Amino acid sequence: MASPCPASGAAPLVYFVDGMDCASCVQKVEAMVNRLPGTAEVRTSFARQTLKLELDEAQTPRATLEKNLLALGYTPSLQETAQSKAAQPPHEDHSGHDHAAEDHAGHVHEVLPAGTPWYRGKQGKLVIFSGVLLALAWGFGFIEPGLSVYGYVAATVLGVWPLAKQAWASARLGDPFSINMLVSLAAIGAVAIGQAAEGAVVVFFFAIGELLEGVAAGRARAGIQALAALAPKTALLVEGSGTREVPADSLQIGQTVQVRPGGRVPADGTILSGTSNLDDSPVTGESMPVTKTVGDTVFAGSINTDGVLSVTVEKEASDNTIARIIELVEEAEGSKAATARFIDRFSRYYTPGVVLVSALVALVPPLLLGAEWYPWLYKGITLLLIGCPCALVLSVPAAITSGISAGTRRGLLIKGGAALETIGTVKTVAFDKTGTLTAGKPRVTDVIGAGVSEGEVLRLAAAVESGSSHPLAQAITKEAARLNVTAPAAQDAKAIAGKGASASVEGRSLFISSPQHAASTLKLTPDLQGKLTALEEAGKTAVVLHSADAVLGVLAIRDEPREDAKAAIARLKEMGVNAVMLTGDNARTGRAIASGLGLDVQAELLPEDKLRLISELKKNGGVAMVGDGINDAPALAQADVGIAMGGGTDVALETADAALLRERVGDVADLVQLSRDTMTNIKWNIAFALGLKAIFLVTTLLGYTNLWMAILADTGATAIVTANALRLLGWKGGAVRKAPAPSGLPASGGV
Amino acid sequence: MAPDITVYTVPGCADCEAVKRLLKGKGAAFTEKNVREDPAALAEMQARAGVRIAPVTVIGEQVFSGYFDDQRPGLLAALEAAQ
Repeated sequence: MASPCPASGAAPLVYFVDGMDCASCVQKVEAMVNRLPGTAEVRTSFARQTLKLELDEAQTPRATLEKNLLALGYTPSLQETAQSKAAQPPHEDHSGHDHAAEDHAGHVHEVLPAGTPWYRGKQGKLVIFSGVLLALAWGFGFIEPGLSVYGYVAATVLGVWPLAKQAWASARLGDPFSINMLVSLAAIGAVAIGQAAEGAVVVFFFAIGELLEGVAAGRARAGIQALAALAPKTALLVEGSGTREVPADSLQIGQTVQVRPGGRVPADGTILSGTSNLDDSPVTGESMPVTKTVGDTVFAGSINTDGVLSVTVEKEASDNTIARIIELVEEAEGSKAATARFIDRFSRYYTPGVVLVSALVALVPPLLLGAEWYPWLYKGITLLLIGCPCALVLSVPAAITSGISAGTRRGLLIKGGAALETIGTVKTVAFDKTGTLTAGKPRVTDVIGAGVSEGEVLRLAAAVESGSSHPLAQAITKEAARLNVTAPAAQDAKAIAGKGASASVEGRSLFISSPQHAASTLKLTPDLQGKLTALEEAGKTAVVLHSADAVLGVLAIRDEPREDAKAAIARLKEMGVNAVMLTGDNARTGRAIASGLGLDVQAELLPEDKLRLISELKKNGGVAMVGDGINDAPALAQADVGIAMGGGTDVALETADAALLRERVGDVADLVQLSRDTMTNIKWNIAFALGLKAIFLVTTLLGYTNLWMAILADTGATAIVTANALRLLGWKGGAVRKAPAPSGLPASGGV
Repeated sequence: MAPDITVYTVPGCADCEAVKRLLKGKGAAFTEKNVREDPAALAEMQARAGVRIAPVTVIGEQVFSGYFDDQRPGLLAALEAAQ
């Protein structure tokens, strides 16, 4: 008995609606949903092809909504959001929550709640039911041998009834040649030719195969759903001088929570007081604890390992980084790889073809060649079973889901089967420099005054840059803070793309420019020019502080390459992938960094130049662009695959096709390898599935295959293909890491 | 010169037909891409417009998406500017 769902005010449901790909479809769906009693806040996303609504299931059960969508010809897949998961108690009977998907050619696979034994699911019950019927029929044979055939007939008919119902439902939805139809036809055919016992076995084995597929789907998805379990359910809300425990999803932006040692951060926010080491591995895969203090960002789900922290909440529960990662990953499953689309189209012709061939085998020899009916009918029915595309159709989504899940656990966030497939085929990886190949934490290394003191140069530069979030600007303001230099207020602050910044400081217009831009507006002395050149050849970024008509000073900033960048570039080359750095920095600085890492460089680029270069690189094959998602959004979108370094910024999570949450250059190579391994897995699965069918086709026509061997071959192939796909869940990448990730997920720290 | 015009459509989509009808009525030549049948076209549409739902109309550098009624004023303005 299903426990009732919460009434009005329940967390919103989000469905990916397959087939809802035009504006009229959206209108149709919205109109239907709005007409149902108990629905509210109905919204569709054109960007994600999702339907989101609040549903009072006391008035309209979820199953009714899903049934109506199916009747309209759309296939809903319920997206488990962290919020809806927390709000919904687990159900013993999940029949209303089946995830029907075109990928499974009419299959409906329930995903059982964690911990539910297989025999309590709908499919598990069907297996038991079929098995009991078969056993009863067999036992009945001892009591009345002459009547055992009726027992087997009853077992077959009763067992095939659910399949026939599903086949009929699929036919009404426009898919007459579903797997359920094939098996129903074969089982009924077996009874018709007097092989009721084999018909019963067919039904039983098919039910087992279906159960295995459901278990496998659950196993693959468990890796992703495990992320949801990491989000803490409660938080310690600071009120006055004390704390109160409240549900984590009730936290409001601006509230303050306390996180004790060993506790898990309940919401994305900023540290208000306290210093501690935080284990971010649940969220980003970064295995080394990170020291964080006042002003640093923390993620929901991270584990606080020592000091007590006070955190200001900056995002609601549904907008936490970890919740959005889960949301993006689950949406990823709805975005099919090209291979998956090919299999879908192939299946649409393949399955009717199987029926046709089976019919021809059964009818042509007896009708045209005078052969006996019985053996050829038998062979035709056997071919129906051999032709089941279960293993073929399942091979792709199982591998994709497993690959995405494995990647996510290692901090490689891939947004879609299409992205996962494309990443492995790129010929060139283009890297941004700042924040990508380098840590994005530049430091001021030199301050040179031209007629004014170094302190004054730093003071004025900090004023001009005080409003900017650009990494170079941050470096200057941090240096000023470090030296206790107080910057005066600045007005009319502006950033000039690719050229620098300007502001009014103490009544003067001041500029911070790249050397090239400064040279184009001022006269630089040869001495100053020489200093600039020397700084750049040392791999430093030089900027000039100047007024409208005079140079005041120069600051040099160096941003160290990430520690693993050189090894990662070498590894990409070993994999046959070229690497190039695209940077807005000047040529000398770019070359200094790039030559140290062993890759080509294109320097002094404006954002539009990057776009042009990516287009040119595409002529030589696929291009991946790796950036930090701040300045590089257009370039990430232009590339075949956009990869964001870091998942902390909204732009990164939304713009790119993939995100590297641990911010390691080596993860780019891991991403390529994961893609290739997944596609190899898929190719082997397809080859195996088709190869086995070819073998059994020959043996059937020669008369060596009977019905139970055919269904066993199909079930066996499905099990093998599934097991092969699930191997990807254990994928760990090839590189030796200095700090190996902890095995499995860390135990919950509790709050 | 006339800007390149591309319309991303799916079969049986009334809003897609309405966009095409408007473009034809204005004498504007356009390329049609079926995103349901062509995965590359769907990927291209997503990259240019950031949506998965047809119709999407691209006139030069301008991108329009959503219902036909929502797109219509922008389409007319863009076509006017191109002449």
